[in-house]
Amino acid sequence: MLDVATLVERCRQGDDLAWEALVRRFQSRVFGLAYHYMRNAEEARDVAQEIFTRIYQRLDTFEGGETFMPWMLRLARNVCIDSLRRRKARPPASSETGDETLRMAAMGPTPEDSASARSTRQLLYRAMDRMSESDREILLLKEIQGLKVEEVSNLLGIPTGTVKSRCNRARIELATRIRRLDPSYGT
Amino acid sequence: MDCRKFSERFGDFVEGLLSLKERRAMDEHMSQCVRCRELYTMAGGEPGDQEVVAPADLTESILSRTSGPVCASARGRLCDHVEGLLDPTGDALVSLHLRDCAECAGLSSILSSLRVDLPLLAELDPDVEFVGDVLARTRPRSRSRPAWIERFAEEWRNLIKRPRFAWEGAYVGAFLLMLIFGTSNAPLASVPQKAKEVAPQVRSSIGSVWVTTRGNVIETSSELAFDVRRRSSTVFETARETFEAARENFEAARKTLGIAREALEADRENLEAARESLGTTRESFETAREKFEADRENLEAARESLGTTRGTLETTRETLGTTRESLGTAREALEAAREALETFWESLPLMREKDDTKQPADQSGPDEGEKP
Repeated sequence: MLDVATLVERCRQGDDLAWEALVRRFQSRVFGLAYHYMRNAEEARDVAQEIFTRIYQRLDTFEGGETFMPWMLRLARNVCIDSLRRRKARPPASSETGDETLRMAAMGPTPEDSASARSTRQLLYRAMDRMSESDREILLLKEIQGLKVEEVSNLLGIPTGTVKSRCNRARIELATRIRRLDPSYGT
Repeated sequence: MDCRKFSERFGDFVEGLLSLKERRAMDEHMSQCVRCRELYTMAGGEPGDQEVVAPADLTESILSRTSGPVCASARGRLCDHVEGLLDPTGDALVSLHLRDCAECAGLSSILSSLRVDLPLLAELDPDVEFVGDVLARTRPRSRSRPAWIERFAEEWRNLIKRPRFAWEGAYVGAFLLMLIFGTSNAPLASVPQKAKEVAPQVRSSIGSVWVTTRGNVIETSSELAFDVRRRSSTVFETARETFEAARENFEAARKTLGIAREALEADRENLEAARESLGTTRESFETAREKFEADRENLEAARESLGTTRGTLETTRETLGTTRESLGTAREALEAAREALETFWESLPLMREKDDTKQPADQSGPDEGEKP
């Protein structure tokens, strides 16, 4: 498999196939991130397309010193926040977050996904739905997307110590909510 | 072993600090001495007990009276404990807490599972057309175009997405119309006046054309009306089918809503049950705390009684020593008195003989068998 740096470089040279490979490589991650922000599959799909369009337009501004993933996630987060602001200006199309969560949990990353994995994802989505936006975002960036503390700190513009403490607090909060929803989880 | 030695070693015996041999000696003494056995019973134990088990909630009660609950502190380090980032001492302390705190132990195991499960949420597959849509949105835009055009297009797209864009457009349009036509110095200021003059001529020429056109229009409209009627019946059928489908969807949605409502009711009942259970647990906790308080007061009273008994024992021992000394003195005095009496008895015949020699004719002397 081609490494990301090579793909990006070929994209910057105008290679359409490299761009397609990059989209296929990161589509699930970008869509997953967009869904976590938007909490709606249709909107997440539109936002994910918008994110890739923005990436395509700004590939020239990407500097090689930084790794691609944090750069992409920062850009994706900005697009998601812009979309959320626009959404606040109009009434919500649907409030059935629970059904949406169940539907997304049933999608899964692979077709071979087992029933227990689906129920676990459903449980995690339900628990995260009830958390505050800031706690959910820090979990999303650090624990789900796997960014380092320094990268999250740069992305959110807060000190690394704050990132650590907020993340620990959010994880305990999530664990407490999961324990309430399903005491058998983790045993 | 006597009572004095028992008393000296009693404290260590209660604390369980004596050797097996000494303990056996203490037990043996208690089996023979009622008072020492009573003393041990008052101290809260029975002969033969090896250890006293502390109440289950003793630690929590002590912590609530001293440092407060420690779960918050443990949870502050729980994430680092799960990731193995704590130093050995801190790690051991958290492990010790988890051994006795079921709540924190449960959270710890959940955190361990979350380390595996959360990264799985990072990726979600969109539908199969997603890549095609993205490529369609990006490919037509030639990357050879200058960057400023791309930026302008991007800014323009963002601009027109704003809800107030329509108002702004109307305002700018009205302003431009005013500039072009509305003022005396405007370049096209004479156009409205000229239009007013030309209007009657246009109206008269339109009149003749109108009659001809009207006939054509009526003819064409009747044909169109027939066509529209034919097509509208088709549209009506389609609309009816759509309506039926929508009604079925509505029914399905209503059923789903009913199921969701039932689930909500069940959740509410569970919540009520949990709340009641919490109330019961709280009452049990209060009862246990009261019992603990009473037990502690009893223990304090027993301890004070033990102190008093020990003091009494010391006093009794001193009294016993004094009595023993008095008894020795009394015994010596008795011995001296007995010796004096023996001497007196021995000297009594000689004294009688002396009396007989002094008063031979006296008949009023005491009998021989009479003793003083």
